[in-house]
Amino acid sequence: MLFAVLSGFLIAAIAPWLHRLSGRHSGWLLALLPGALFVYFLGFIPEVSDGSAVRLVYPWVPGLDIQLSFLVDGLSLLFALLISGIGFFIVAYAGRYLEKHRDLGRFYVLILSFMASMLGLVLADNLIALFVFWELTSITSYLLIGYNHEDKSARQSALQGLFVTVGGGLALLTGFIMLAIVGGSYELSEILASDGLQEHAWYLPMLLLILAGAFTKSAQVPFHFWLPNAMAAPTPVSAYLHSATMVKAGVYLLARLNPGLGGTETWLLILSLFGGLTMLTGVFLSARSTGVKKVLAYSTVMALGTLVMLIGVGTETAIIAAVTFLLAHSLYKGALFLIAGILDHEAGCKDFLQTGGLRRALPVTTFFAAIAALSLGGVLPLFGFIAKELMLEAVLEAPRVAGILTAFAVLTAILGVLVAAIVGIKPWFGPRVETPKTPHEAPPAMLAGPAVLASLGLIFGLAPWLAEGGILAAAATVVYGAPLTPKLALWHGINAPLMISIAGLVLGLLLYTQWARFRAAFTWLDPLARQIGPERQYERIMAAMVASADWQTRVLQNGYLRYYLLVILITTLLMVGITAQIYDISIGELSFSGVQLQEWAILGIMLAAAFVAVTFRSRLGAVASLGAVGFAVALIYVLFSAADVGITQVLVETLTVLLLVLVLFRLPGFLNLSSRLVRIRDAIVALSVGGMMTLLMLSTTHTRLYDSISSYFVQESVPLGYGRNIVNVILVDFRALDTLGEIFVLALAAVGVYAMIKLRAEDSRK
Amino acid sequence: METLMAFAVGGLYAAAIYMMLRRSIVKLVIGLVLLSNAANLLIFTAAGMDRGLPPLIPEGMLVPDGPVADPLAQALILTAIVIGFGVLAFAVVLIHRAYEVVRADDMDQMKDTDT
Amino acid sequence: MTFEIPDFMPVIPELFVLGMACAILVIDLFVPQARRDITYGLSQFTLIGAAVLTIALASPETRFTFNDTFIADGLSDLLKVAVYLITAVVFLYSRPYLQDRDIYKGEYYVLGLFGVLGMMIMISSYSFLTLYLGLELLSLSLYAMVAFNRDSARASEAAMKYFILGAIASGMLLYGMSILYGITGSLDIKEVSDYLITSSAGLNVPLVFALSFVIVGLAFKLGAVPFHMWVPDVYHGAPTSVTLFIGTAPKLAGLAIIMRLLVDGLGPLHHDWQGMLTILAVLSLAVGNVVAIAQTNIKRMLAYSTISHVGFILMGILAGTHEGYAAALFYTLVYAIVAAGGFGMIILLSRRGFEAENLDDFRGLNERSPWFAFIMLLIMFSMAGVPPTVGFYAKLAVLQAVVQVDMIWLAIFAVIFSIVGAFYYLRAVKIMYFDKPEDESPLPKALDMNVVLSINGLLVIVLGIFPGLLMSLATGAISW
Repeated sequence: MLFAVLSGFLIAAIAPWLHRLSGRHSGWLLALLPGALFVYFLGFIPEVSDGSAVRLVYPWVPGLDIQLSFLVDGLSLLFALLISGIGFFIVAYAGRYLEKHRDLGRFYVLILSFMASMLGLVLADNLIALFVFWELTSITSYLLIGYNHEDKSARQSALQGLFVTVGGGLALLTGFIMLAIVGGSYELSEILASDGLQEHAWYLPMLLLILAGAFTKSAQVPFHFWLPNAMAAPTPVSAYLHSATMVKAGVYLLARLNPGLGGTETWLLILSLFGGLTMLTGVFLSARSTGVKKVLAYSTVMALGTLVMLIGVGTETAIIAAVTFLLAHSLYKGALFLIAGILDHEAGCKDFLQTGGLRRALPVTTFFAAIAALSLGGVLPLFGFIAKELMLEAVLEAPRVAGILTAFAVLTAILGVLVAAIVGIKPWFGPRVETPKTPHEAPPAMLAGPAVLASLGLIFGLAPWLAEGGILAAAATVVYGAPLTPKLALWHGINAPLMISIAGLVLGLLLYTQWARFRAAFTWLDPLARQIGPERQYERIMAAMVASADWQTRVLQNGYLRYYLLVILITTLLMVGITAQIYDISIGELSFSGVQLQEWAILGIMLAAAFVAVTFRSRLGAVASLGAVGFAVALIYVLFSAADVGITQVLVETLTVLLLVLVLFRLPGFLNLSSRLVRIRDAIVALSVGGMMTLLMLSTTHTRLYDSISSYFVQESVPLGYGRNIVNVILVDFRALDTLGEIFVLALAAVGVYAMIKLRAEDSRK
Repeated sequence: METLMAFAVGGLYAAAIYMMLRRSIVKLVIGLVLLSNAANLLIFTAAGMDRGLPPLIPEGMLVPDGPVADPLAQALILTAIVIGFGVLAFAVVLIHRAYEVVRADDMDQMKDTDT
Repeated sequence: MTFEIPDFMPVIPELFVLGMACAILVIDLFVPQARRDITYGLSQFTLIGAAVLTIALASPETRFTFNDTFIADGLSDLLKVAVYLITAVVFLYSRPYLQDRDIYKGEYYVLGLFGVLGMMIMISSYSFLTLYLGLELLSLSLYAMVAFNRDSARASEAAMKYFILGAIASGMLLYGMSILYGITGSLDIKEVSDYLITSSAGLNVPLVFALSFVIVGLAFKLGAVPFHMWVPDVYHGAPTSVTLFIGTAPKLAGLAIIMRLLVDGLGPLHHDWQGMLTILAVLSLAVGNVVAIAQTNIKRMLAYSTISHVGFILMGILAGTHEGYAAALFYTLVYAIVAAGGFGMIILLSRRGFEAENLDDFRGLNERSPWFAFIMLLIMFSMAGVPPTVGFYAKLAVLQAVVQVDMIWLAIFAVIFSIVGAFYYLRAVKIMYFDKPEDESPLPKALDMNVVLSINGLLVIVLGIFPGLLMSLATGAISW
């Protein structure tokens, strides 16, 4: 299993080489891999079809509780089969479609890695592994979209799609972590088996985070805008992303989590309403578009909405409808996108308005396009019809939201037929329209995919018993969380869904005859959508973020050192102030008793000198008073039993004054640069800081709670250090390491000074 | 005494901060010197202030005769003073270079790294 | 406590680096400019030698020496080896950059080695004073290195700002330590911790003040908001080779002093510093990620990105659990690797007379060099925390740690701003892959640089696929 999932990455690594080796037929050669995987996964059907699951575990990151565990059950197997099966045709198709592209080798690397990531995603049982593969699909699909970046629109939309999905992914990650903690495990199978997920206090935040991930990935309203914009990818990629993979990942996740998280009111309302809205929005936008890929892309949005809605409704019928619809959609959408590629490749058409009457030139393509389109429109006797009937049935009997969902579904049925007609009739029938290239039939490699996929839609429609047992039943069972046995049939008798279908068919075809008018009728929406649509909101949020970033830069990062200082000081003041408030600071009594006269005098001189240094206009005067401050400090040391410190202070102070005098005179005189207001502000800040320090000292001097370790040094100075000056003994003996460090620091300051002076001297010599 | 020292140190801090908030580069240096003096005094005060009890051990004795001032705090301040000087020397050279770049005694000329 | 001749074994790497740095300083005086490679080679030898010594002396048990002011344990061994390796990579990347700008001087390497020594002392200090000395040693080296390029007005200015603000922050840290000394009567981290555990006085006001000042100092050194203003200006103003140095190894030392001071020393006050760190983390995440968007200069952008990463590191620490500390350590190691690659890319694209500092200089890199565009893509994805790069596991570990202590809102907040942050990393990717190059010149660079940068980039993904090793190293270093 591990090998099966990772084989995509392995083959991807040597794909360019294989490509060079095999030349023209590289597509078929590399398609063997997904083909083989498909066969491999087919082998699991007997084991899984009775509702059981196969679980395989490989250790991976023990420190983080991450195992590479895979779970093969009905749901994951259904997806794995779709991914590998459709992948087979896509790779073969791409070999021919991109034959002349200079980077076909790189394309293979990307598409095979993408396929492997997708397989990993659906098969992973560990949440983190699932997430890793989830983001891998985002990255590889991004690179696939970027593959054709000559296109201007591709460049513009490139960032959008990635940002939306990666952003959603990060939200999902948090949701997963919470899910794992609530469920007590990182293994999906264990989480879903645990009780009490829905009653937990984290249920709502967890659900919203996971939905953010799933909705962005599966392009639900209001995130649907990125999907069509990401349509710039080469057509085989679009076909793959839209039919079975990428965008279905979100749906897969919701289906997977349904037994654990589903069934609540919140789940029902959010999923079914957003899904229903997405369905309607998708089909409406699809019917209004004319670009071939755009029509198809929006119809994918519709399908994704339908699936999410059905999972949200969550009744037996709804779940059966969901898995059926999933299969039907993958088949017809894959076929149609590949046909769109043929239209582009063989006739040069990218827009439905450029096409018409191609049935003579492309008879085979026309046939399969028509079948696939019928399935899309949900017309008898295609598989798409069965899926749609089930969907309508589920919606009609949905709890709580049946009314509004039915309204959505009816409108969707009508517009769906219109879209099907655009795809299935417009290019092939009617008057011949001149195409940019002389149209001719595509080579077998490109026809194989549409032919097989479209035919399967027809076969499953005519013989639904082929599909209903085995895999579909197993998948539905997994999603529902209890055994389900779907009974699929073309004919359910004359009932409400059938009436809706018939009405939809008639109205849809009528609308098709008025397609141009239909499009024109809604042009007034465009400026409105540009104003308030989600894409606009996305741009607005982005613009607001940039603006706020600019603003913060101007305010916080203006380059003025003194503002930086101010911010730091004020923050510290606030921190201390708040702490003082909270802890109710107490200061000891203010006692000036016992202070001798000379001490008053020294401190007075010191403060006066400091004041002079601050206010004096002349540099020499300022430096001299600075010296006075220093000597006053030295006197205090000497008076209070610290003779050594005092002497050092005197020496250092002398050196400092000398240094300042020497250097300052190479600098210009003081300028009075600040306005009075600024000086007052600074004075207030300075005094507050000074006051804060005073306050802190007053509150801390009386709180010596512990006997100083100094007593140890005092005791042991002579016995161990053989010295009578305890300070000296500490410096050179007990704390020699610190003194060594001090010497390093001094030496380093010297090296720094030296380096700066030396480099400058060298400079002036030049 | 500690009470008085608290006010004196607060005053020194205020002077230092005010100087550091000025635009003149030279004033900035003066502010730095004041700041290091204030910090040293602060540590000194925090360790407790005693008159006439130098941490020395008289000849012929193993321990001092009676209580002495905290020697560890003094060692700490010694270190701080010396490092302060090293840092100051460094600062002066740096500032001199900065001055050569902007050719004015004005910090506000130095905002080239602004976006 | 008994006095004895200090055990020199644990400090042998420090002594080696010190001796070599001094020797190189002297040797360099006699080396002509044309043979500057001798200095470079000796510096690299020093780092490799120190790594060998540290690994050879490593042992699972904790070793103290110099009256318990110096500690060697799993954490210090791991961080030191990481510092050597990252610095060696930094030196290697710097060489072509310095050569192109005629500042290929021995002093760069000597200062760098002194900086390494400072970091080693910070990592191994178990006393406030030793720690402070290490910090000053590192800071002074960095100030001098920032001002290293004589021709650059920006660099002098950046050094100036860095120095002044750094001095204030050091002062605050020192003040906090001195209050602690005043209260507990000790400078030794172990004894301070013992005091806090045994004293029933519990929380008193001066203790909280001390804590505030210590945290302000630490926050400044790490560049957490609102003490971050130096970061963008210094990253931008310094020569890129120095930015590379500042942006990588010192973060490891910064983490070490946080672990020593807050966790080992002030661990009993966890409840109090948790709140303060939460505020810092929240602000750092918000400001770092949002402001980065407005930057067009990639060095400034990476500076803000650093700020936001610091927010994540703080989140791991404030969780206050073993998992949290291990996550913070893991995050920091990953950050250093990734940031080295990021700044390395800037150096790679720069050449004589041209600094590839602007985001626009990365336009269409995919067409100029698909390989290095891919490397940069990996680096950007890792910074954004996208799997399968190692940056993902870093974020995951931190988020897990935070959620485990029930701070879900913080995790969600972090995620929201990570999404904002993803925007500018992904924008860089988009520029490389989707825009047209303005500058079509190929990327001629030394072979060693290309090879090491490639390894650096691939490490991001190799560690991402096999994060187990690094993770277990981090977990092992924390379980004392």
